[in-house]
Amino acid sequence: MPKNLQKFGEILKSLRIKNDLSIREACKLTNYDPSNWSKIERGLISPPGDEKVLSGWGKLFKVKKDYLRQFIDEAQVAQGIIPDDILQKQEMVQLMPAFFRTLRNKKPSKEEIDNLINLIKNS
Amino acid sequence: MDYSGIDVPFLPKNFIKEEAEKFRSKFWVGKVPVNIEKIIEQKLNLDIIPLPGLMKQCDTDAFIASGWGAIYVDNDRYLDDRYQNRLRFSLAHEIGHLVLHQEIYESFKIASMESFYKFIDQIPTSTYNKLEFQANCFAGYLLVPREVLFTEYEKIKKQAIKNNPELKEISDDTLRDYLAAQLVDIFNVSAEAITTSLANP
Repeated sequence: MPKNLQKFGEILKSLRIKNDLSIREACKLTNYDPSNWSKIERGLISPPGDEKVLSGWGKLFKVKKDYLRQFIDEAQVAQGIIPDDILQKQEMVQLMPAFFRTLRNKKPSKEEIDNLINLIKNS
Repeated sequence: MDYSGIDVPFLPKNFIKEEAEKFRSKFWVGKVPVNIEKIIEQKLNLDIIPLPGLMKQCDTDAFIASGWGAIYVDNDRYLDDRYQNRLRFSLAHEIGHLVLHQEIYESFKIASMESFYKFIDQIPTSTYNKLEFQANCFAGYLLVPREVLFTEYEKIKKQAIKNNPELKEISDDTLRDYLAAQLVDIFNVSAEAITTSLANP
């Protein structure tokens, strides 16, 4: 995972936790997609480049004015970097469910497991 | 490894209740509702990872990864307020697997995707059901502390009978079903979970 992406992800997560917000709460307040937010925190995708969006996040986390610039800079440094494939770093089997029951109260089918693997690969 | 004959120990409800209470007193000092999301992220340091399409393509709203470092949740349900009570229960259910079944899962020695497929295919449905039932039980005890539940229930029961003395005549079971919905907002779980909890002290 590129260090700049990872660094920004860690900053974002620590600011969110410090403000006692879940990803859902942060996304509702900033109108951002939770799946993408989570990917940014894990350093898997670049943060947005738009300063307005980043300023909004900074305000949400009540960051001081002088730190806001640094926060935006960190995001922009992390921009444009193509992350390594997550699967090169983590064994796929570690990401598989320990236990997984469908809502129809059955074990998952092979098709559902195959679908799940594709979803996780893109997560 | 052949998974077709595996069984898991029966865990008495009292044991599961004690485990859930121990867990809650260790990680949650606040009042109800128990904020399971905060426990997961801030106390256990697990990631909650929203996954688009999980519900539609895999018919499940949450699962804990076998590396025990993350719980995946359906992206749409995670954001949708209408599903929050259901999702909270699912998160607590996954923590039930972590607390009750981590060692059992490790003993299956699933180290490759081949063995993972084999495990899902071969594990007897009765064993799977037992594990799921135990995790559900844990979730109920974790999110609905019985002492608070029965205190609150007695309050609303007294008030309901005061307002409508005819309720004295109906059976306890029916009355519990009738009043369960009034406790939903105290614990942020479904009325079904409240009814089950009232029937399982």
